[in-house]
Amino acid sequence: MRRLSLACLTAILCTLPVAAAAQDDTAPVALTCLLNVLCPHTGACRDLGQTIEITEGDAGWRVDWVGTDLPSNYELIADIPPAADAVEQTRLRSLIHRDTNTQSTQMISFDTAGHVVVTTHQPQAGMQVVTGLGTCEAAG
Amino acid sequence: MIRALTLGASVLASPVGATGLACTFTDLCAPLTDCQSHPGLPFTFELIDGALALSTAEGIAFGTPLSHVEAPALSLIFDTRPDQTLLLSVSNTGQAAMTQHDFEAAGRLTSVSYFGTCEPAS
Repeated sequence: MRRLSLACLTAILCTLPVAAAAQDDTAPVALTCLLNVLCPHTGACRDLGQTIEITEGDAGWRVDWVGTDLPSNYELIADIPPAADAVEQTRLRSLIHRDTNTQSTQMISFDTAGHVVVTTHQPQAGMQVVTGLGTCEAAG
Repeated sequence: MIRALTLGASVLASPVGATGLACTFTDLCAPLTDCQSHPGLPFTFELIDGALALSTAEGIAFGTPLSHVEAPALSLIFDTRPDQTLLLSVSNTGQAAMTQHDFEAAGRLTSVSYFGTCEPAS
């Protein structure tokens, strides 16, 4: 994988606040996340303050956008366990939502250390890309 | 691991060429930072056994086409272990975006998006 100058980019992101939200790695996921920053690729980032709830149930994965009527059906696309020699034993999972009407795809990645990243691609609308960042904690 | 998703061979009809998809990314954007211009970062997605694949240091990652995006546009996901998930989208005009959700060894989850164009590779 080419990384080139990504190190400098990601280093800046590393300064983001991190929520301590360690979760039992074997229990079904039940997280409450606050997306506090929204970054469209064509403009400046802005504060968001959107709560999402990520849950793993018998019927699959749900991401509920609290206070909205957005769809909640998501699919697990990646489940990456921590490397044996990793500094932090953190598990990464990624979900997607497919929106047939808008031809858009939303990818949500979250880890067991309490980070969440949401990115939406809409290639049929001038390639719009939006990314949101936030933190999660175990749902109470 | 990549779950079985609906694969649509028709998704690969276009803009994928005989040998794959040749992309050049000229802008790299990460949230909360300014985008960086690049003279042209090439990425080649090879067509292997009918599927687009990306060669990484860890091996070959096969893309899973997302069938809800109608051709000639396309979107694919790649599980580029050990620490990344990629979403690649190409519009019907060849505009391309590739977003990498990357878990850093230091325990941080980051996102970087690349913008540019893709064209059939022959």
